[in-house]
Amino acid sequence: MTEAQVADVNTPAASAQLHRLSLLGDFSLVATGVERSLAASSRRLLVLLALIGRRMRRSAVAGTLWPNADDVRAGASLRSALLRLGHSGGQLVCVNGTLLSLDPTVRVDLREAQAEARRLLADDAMLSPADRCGETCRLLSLELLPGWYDDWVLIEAEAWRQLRLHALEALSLRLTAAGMHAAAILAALAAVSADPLRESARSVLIRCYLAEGNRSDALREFGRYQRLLRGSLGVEPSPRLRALAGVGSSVPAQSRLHGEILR
Amino acid sequence: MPREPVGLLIIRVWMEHGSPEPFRATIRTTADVGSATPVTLSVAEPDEVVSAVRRFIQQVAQNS
Repeated sequence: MTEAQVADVNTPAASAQLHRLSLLGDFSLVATGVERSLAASSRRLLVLLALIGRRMRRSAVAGTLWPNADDVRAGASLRSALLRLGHSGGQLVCVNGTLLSLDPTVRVDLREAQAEARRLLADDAMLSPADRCGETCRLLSLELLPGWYDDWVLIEAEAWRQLRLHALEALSLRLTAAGMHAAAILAALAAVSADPLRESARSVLIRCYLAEGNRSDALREFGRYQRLLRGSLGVEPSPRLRALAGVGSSVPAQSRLHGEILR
Repeated sequence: MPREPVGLLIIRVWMEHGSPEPFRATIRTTADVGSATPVTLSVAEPDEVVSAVRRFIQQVAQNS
């Protein structure tokens, strides 16, 4: 096991604050101030409990993590995973009889990011310093556990994807309204990057360009989207997006730019 | 013990409201999650989704 010391911890109270589980972008765990390398089974156990976010019966945990094993083997694998976690420093899992849950002292980055996303989607959301400096955009740009293919991860990953796409669009619109065009464009580009076919993300990006007076950028973006839709789906952008970009229904976006190469 | 290959197919379906042809789907297939690279296909017709699923199952059946 390789461990990198990332912080000094002098008191139990301080160390309890330093359990941090990161699921966005990649898996990592900092327990009692130390970055930990975990066995795959222990990693999956922590992730499952973090994603479920409530107590689970041991039998349900074992059945979820080892669906192809019989009950005895799955139970043994779970005991082994718990034992290995116990050697990782700090209490990460609460064991209460037949129930397991993530210890409340473990902070999970996904939960914090979800709270940020929901804040942005509230009607009365105000821009925070993190929104203005790009930190929120960076957080919302991260996928949940890319490369994990367990059913229970994929469903959560898709739910997070939907939430962050909506939140990135909302963030971009709020930044545009505040006149912070560069930050607004970056948030919109992050939404476009996460789902290039999504029309609402393109719409938000085009609004950013129009808000700062860059009509040529808006037209160029419409052209990119039009070519993507034609090439991959054989369909056209909606009349609503066409109207937003100021593109006539019969005039290709390319010709509006007088021969400029659209990329 | 040799590892069993596990194929994965994920279909994401949504509607682009406002478009005259609103149906959209992206289909992500991986012949074996342990080794193969995912392939993503985007379509705008429900029948194309059905065809993609059929091709995937046939591929998995041939490789097993």
